[in-house]
Amino acid sequence: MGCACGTQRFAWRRWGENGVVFDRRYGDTHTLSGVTASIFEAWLSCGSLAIGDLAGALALDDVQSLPERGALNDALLELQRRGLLPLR
Amino acid sequence: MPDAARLSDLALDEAARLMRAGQLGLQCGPLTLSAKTSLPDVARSVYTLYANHPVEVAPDFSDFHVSVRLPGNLRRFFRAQAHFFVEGEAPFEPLPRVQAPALFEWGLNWVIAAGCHQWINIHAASLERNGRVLILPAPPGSGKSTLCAALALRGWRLLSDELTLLDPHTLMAHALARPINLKNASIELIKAFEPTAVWGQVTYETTRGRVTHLRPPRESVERMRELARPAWVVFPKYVAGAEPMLTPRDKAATFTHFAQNAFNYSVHGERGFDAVGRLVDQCQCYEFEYSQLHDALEVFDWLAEHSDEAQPPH
Repeated sequence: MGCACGTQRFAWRRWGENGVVFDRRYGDTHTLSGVTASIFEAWLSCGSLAIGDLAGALALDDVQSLPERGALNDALLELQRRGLLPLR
Repeated sequence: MPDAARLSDLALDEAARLMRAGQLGLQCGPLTLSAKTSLPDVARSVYTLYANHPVEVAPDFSDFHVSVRLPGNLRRFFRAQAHFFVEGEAPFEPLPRVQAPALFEWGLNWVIAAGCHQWINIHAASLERNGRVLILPAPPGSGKSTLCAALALRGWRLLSDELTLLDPHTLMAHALARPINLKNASIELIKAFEPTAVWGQVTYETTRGRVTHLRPPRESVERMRELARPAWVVFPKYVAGAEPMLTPRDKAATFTHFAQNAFNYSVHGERGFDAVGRLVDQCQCYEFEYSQLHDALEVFDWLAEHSDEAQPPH
């Protein structure tokens, strides 16, 4: 799923480290915090579910060697579990 | 009979007669409510609490027709009950007869919350000062209504004790200037705080304990058609012995609270998301702990005089 689909489906607001998203498909509102909020915002901007692309959108260095990789994966899984991101 | 400017311009007997006939149109902010009851304690309560509200006799149009009456069965006599009706329908179960005056107020809360989708209806008190609105959202037991009553009695214009009504396009807040519901120890606290305040009948043994209503200040009623812009969202919390402390609150968490506690957030769909987002953007959001009303008033007065992002006093 590309970025255009994401921006068409979702309305997004962010304050500091946290944000809220409105899912036009289901009429639901979700609160996202911390890494999860950042990953979601990165996906909206880059449209890719690849960790490397998301890390790039987040201006992180080589994600393969980053300790944050686990946290990024967890956040992706959380967003997918909530139906906000497509399954990889 | 000519229309009266205010309910108190009528004699109690005349007001009660109009209510028996269902001809009393009560103006609450932008709403006209036709009130009907043949129960004398309910009529007396309405007369006391809405004394300063404009009334119209047999209005051509009413937003809602509400009534409180006895059931048609044996519950008129044995373990007597009272029903609340809106447009002839009873939206909830009856309450004990002695709770009928309070039932009128609670029923009106429900009618407005569930029926006025032209606004976003947030479960929160709201008051205005210098053209800006303070929103006090909080769960029961937080001291919200106590604080609301104290502020309303000390120069803040009461918009509402229970329902903050926001235009989803302009974000302007509407006023209802309806009575303030207080319960248990808060009643004596506010009676001591303002001995001249006017009260409705006390109702005992409700699910919320002992409750009564405070008549809204006259100026709040006279200015209830004035809209105002929200500027602060403050979540009060009464903590015994606490020093007053105002601390910034996360805006996303504030948004989530509104989304979960607005009676009709989901009805508005994306318009509601956008409006609540803009509301949170434009307001300073705080948590507030307090134990003394006078301390709390000092902090809120400070807030009203300082519009910028200054540090709150400690």
